[in-house]
Amino acid sequence: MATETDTRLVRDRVGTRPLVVAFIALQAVAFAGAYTYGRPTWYAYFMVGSTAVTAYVLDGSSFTVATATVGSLLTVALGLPLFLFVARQNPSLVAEKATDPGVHRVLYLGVYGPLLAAVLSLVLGVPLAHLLAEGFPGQPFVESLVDLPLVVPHSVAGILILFGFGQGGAFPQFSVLGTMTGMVLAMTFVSAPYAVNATRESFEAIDNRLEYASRIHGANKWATFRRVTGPLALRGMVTGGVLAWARAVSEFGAVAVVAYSVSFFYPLEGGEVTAQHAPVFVYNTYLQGGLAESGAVAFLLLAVSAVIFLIVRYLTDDNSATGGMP
Amino acid sequence: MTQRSNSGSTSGRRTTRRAFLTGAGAATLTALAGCSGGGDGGDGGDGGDGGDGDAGGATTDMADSSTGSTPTESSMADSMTIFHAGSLAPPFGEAEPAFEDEYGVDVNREAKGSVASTQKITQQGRSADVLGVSDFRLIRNRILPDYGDWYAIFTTNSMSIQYREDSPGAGDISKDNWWEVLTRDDVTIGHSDPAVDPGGYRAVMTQQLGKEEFNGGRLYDESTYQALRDNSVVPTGTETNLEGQLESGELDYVMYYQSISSTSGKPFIDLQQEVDLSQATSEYAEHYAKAEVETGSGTFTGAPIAYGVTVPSVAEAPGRGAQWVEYFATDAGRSILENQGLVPVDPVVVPASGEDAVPDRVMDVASAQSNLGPLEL
Repeated sequence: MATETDTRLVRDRVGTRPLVVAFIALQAVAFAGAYTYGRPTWYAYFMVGSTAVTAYVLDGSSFTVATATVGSLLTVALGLPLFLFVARQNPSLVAEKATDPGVHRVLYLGVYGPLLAAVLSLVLGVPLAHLLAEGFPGQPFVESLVDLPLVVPHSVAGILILFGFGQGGAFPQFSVLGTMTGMVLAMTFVSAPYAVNATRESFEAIDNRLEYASRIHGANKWATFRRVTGPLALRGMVTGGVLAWARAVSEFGAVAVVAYSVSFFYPLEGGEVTAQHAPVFVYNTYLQGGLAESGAVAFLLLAVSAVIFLIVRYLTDDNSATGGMP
Repeated sequence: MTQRSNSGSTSGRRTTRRAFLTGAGAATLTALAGCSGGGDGGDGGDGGDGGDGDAGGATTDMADSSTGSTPTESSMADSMTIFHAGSLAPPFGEAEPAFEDEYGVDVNREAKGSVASTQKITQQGRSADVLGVSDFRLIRNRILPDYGDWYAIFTTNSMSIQYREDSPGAGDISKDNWWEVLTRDDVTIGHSDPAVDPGGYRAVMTQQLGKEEFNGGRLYDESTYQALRDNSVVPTGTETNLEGQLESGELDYVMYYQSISSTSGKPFIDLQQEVDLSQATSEYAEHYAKAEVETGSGTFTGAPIAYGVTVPSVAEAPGRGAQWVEYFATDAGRSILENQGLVPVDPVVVPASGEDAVPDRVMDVASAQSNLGPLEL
């Protein structure tokens, strides 16, 4: 039974893959054509039109065509500026930046710092998310507290971290100004809400009866979490972690206030180096070298982030298959 | 049984909640539609207003031309845009309401670092009617000749040291021993990044100038300078973050403009003129030039903190821009600058080479010079 479903899924996937590749190739050709011709507007229309036609050919129902068409409007709004940004890059400048060891450090810090923040958000956020999903008295107050960092302006968030954990704050023994600790704290402050909320959603989506069943069969709460609810919520945790990581990568304001330049251990050189978080570095590059140079660095950051997104999605797709439950 | 009734009540609550959410969503959508519709209408209205404004401007122009002055129609628009350095935000902000009342114009200001403000025009292709920066050389080197033809040096500022009442050594520090207190162990001095902020390289220059002889004496020796550098950290790209970092206790002393320190409410040291970069005279300019700061974005030579202002050639309302510059070259603007801890230059200085391009109303209150000490204008 299970194998049958599996093979059908696999066959479907194999059947659509060439189609996906062809569609992407067609889009790339159309964009390249429109761009070299100096008319990116044409590509916007083409993207919407081609999506509608593809939806009609593949499915045919008016509902699917409508959702695909409206959805493609959003992908135009998200994708077109990005594609144009990529197309405008000067390849030799990008290559120059890509081989600059200073940029390597920045990219390493720009991936590694947010990773620490995302892990911290998850390690501390999953228990809280579990509690919030179960519900407890006074919950709305805790929920609001978790959501508040979302509305705090970023530079204010930095000031809050300085005052909260700095020399005059609660833990004067930690130095936060210009340290990795400060950078991770600032990032966690702005990104933890994403981790908590996404994880909580996935805990809430689990049918309570699965947990009851597990308890009735003699598993205690720890075992139930480890074998039933935890694995089922894994996708939510990963999504939350990715969101938190992405949010931390893009953070400028709070990091610029707390940790403008950071000393950290850099394995590629085997020692302490000093670098700036990627968005701070991109902005400073803009101030010193102008749009073209900062664009090249931003392009590299985008490329690295895109690769990481794809890897994470690829890995979690497998995980959801082995998770075992619908 | 109990469970069922429970779930029943839960689903009941859910239904109410969903109904509420639907209602709220519908209300938001309606409001959004109303807004965008209203926005469209508003835009149309704005266009109309613009036309009206122009017509109004034309009437004023006729009135003006009858009294002798002849600004062009578009140069006297009813709104204007100003890009300026963060340290000019207090004086420009104070002048804004008075200026708006006097000239009947809507002033939009965008404060950003001096370099970033300049690049909005040179890199991003944006237009402004006034550009005010904390170093006139930014205009001289980056705006001229492609985006403007002249500039005016209208105010100076001085470097100062700000601290907290409980900074280590705060009880001992004075104008005559600041370098002794600042070089003590465990003192942290903060200044902004010299590579991206003029306030940063100027702080380093102040530290350097203390070891340079001026009129036969100097404040301290080379080793004191090294100790100052060892205690200095660069915790930010713009000086605006320094005050918060000082107050949080992470920094003990910060070096930035006196226009900030004199209006912040915390104690500060008013430094010696030979190190504070405030004197726009040839004698001091020659002394300041002994300081040299190397950074990732080039080498900067010491000079008086001379603020520059210009009306870029890409301005949409150049007449309004010239009025703004004139305002700060006359008594009303000068007293505002003084209130905010800046030192107005009286009369404002314009480069002799670009004299012809200076608008008449600015030239009337300015003096043309070809150099400031070793500094070419």
